[in-house]
Amino acid sequence: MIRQKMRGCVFETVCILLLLRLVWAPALVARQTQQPGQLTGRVIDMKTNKPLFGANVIVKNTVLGSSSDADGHFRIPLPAGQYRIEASMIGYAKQTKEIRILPGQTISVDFILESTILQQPALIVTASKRRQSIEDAPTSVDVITAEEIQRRSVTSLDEVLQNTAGLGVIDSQIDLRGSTGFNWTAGSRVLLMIDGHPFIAGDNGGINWDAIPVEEVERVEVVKGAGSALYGSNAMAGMINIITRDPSPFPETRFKLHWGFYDEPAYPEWRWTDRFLTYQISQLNRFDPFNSLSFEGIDLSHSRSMGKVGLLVTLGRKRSRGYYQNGDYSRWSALGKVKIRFSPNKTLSFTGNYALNDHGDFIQWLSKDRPLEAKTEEVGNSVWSQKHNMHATFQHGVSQIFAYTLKSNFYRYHWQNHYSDNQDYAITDRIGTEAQFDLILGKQSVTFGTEVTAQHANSLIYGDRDTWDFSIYAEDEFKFTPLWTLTLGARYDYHWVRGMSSAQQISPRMGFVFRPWENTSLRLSAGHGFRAPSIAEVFANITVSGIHVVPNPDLTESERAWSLEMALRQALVLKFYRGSPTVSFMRNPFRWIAENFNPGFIFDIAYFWSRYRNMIDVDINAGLTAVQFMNMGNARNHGIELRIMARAFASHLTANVGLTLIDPENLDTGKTLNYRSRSRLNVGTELRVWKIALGWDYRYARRIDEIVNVFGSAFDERVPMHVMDARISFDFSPIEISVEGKNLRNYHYTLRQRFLEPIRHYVITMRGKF
Amino acid sequence: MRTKLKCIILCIAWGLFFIIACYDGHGLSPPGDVSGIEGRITFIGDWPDSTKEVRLAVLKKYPLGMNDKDSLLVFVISNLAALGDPIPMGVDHFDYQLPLEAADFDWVLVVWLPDDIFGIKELGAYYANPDQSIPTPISVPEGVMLEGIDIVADFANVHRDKPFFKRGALP
Repeated sequence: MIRQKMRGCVFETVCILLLLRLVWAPALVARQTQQPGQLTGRVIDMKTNKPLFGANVIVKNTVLGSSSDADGHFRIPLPAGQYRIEASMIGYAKQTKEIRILPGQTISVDFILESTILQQPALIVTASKRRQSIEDAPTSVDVITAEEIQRRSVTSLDEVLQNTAGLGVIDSQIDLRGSTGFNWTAGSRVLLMIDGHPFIAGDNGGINWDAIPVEEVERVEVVKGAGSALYGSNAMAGMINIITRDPSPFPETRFKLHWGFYDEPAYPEWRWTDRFLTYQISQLNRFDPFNSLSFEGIDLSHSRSMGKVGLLVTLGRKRSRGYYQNGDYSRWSALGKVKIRFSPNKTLSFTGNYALNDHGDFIQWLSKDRPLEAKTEEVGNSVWSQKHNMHATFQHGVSQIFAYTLKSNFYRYHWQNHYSDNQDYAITDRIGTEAQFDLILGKQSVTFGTEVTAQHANSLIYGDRDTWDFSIYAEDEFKFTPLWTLTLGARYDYHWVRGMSSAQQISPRMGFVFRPWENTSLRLSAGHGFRAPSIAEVFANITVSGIHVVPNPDLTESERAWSLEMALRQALVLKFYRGSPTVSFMRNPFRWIAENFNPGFIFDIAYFWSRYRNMIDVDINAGLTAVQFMNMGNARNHGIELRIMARAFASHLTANVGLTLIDPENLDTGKTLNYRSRSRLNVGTELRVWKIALGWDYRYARRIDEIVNVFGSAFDERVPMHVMDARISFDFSPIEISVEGKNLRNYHYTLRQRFLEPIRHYVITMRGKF
Repeated sequence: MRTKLKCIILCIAWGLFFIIACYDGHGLSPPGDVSGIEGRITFIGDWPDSTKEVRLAVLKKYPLGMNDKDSLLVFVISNLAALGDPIPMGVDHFDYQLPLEAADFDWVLVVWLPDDIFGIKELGAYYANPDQSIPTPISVPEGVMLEGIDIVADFANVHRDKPFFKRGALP
């Protein structure tokens, strides 16, 4: 009894101390901001002596930081004190300097960065909801840069993401390390965000790739592992954060034009129309590029800054005739972004994004003999949809130890079927708001906040539905020494479905990072994730292509998972030749190779393990002769992932390899989980010589073991995936022209039943920047 | 020299991998030269809870004149030409394709399997004319997928017109 009372007293004392510390922090801030000084300077490339635009300059152990402008300048107001300043940029080695500022003093510090062969991203923001270096993140993170996206001629971001280790996309749904497989587009176990704002549809939690402004992406961060402790539902297997570029500080106009065409399928009997361009040319002596099975598009953007206000406006138009019957689309897209920089530590950004898509719909092929043709009764079926997305972020670094971020977002997804027998529609809204606070307390970085989300669906197939989510979260990072970092956090979520049920969930997370040497990092993380059933999974009542999907009001349980990851990351630079190059390639190629080879590698090997409870999956309901989403029971998934990033010849030759082996098992039936490939390999290389770049990507996925046989076909159409893309580009700055061949082998495969993935096609792209 | 060698090996490996990745082969191919049958199985009535599996089976001969269960089982095993995958439980219809060798087959049927293998029953068979007393034989030509082999499987009316088993519903 006495011990219990003592324990209670200790608990109360700790709570009071914590509260006092939080209350004390603003007071401390007020005192320290009485006589602010200022840090200014430039970031310059050591080799070229040119200013670096977009370099990150952060004040270590504080929440403050800035990025360099077009002239390489940066400015950070700082109270008097002693600080460590770190400048970093992708492709350059970090540089740290110690400074001391007196009250009211302005000091200038320049950073001269040396390029490095290991092009690691400077800072990431998704793994812990705050800026940190990738080596400090407790979970595996892949970063896809704007350059990597633009190097490939893509119209949709998922085409690039598929080259990421362990990531597959099946019919628009993300499968990260075998977490989701394919759930018939209802419910994603990976949270997709734009600029840190959730970007998933309010009804099925699905992803609309056509609404993502690919040309305006600055980078994409793919975080693997349970993220519900910070991001809540949907983030049970990871997060993908798409960060759009900021408005340019100077007037800048960009354009991109592309035109491409589909080659004929490998088998003449699959050629369902004479509109294949190669067939028209070879057999019909006709060349009609815009009336063949081709696609084209134009993207225009303009960006500039006027004083404190930066503006970015884009407009896009894309059309395709598709490679299969009903495969056509007509799209419009627009984006506007305004960023107001009230001061270096206070910014407001507002982004509005609109996409319109009128496309044919293809649920299943006519037969295996005619896989590019739709069912006779489904020819002409189409879906019209529009997406409105708006989000605003206000960030304020109140002092060097305290900052807060306010976010709000709205996403409307409106679709309408135009089928011969079905005119279903849905208007779904997702509105959310979040307040996040960051506090630096000595060796601790505390992030805490609260989030409220409401989702509304009004449609024939769901009825009139509402769900609400409320959550609070906190995470603390203890940096015991520069070598050891421990992260502890948890989030509480309350999920409410109007007129149905409510559920609550606590998701803890622990992370541990050990960096014995500069280029080595060992990490361990464990966390709990969950996903509340989407409106579609509970209420969908629809018949499509002969499949009856019936509602399941008993689906009230969230699916839950415990996840663990252990990983080692090692960077290695081999300098075979330490002097300056003495010959040109043309004069003595062998000597040039010997002097410039100097390869650099980053190895990252991870073991991951997840244990699922109440996993939600589609199943055939024995009593109702239809399919239904239900809690299927327990499952386990574990595996190994190896990533290698190699660079040589001063990054003229690059290679990325990702190998993921998984063992996903339904513990109740002993079978492999549906739609999972047990192994996946990605290889990508690029060779840049003079103004020419040659590159190729290869993707392999093992044949899927298990599927849900919703169509009832006894024939097996599953084969492994072998896809090979290759490209050549010419850089005639400010114009760049590239030609890319996709699925060059014309390899035919399915990822889900009765739908043939894209056949061989070619794209010519021209982009420019003025 | 060692560095040069490494560079050459690297470049060769880079090129070789490209060639290997481009090896010939197109994955899925048309089932043009596959013989077999295809059609729709329509289920009537509720699926009993005692159902373990339901499959499509093709037998070379029809057991005319056979009148005891044990002999029938031996007959089925010795004449079984093909057995389809389990049909998803609870469906009201199932479109199937079943590869077969080019030959004549007397009995295309849907079998119902409970936990006890000896409780195997016929749910329905292929009848070109519903009034026929015995199932319609089929002849599968080489390289042809014979279409329209539709079967009605009635859970309330098993073993249609068989003298050796009682007609009726499943347990």
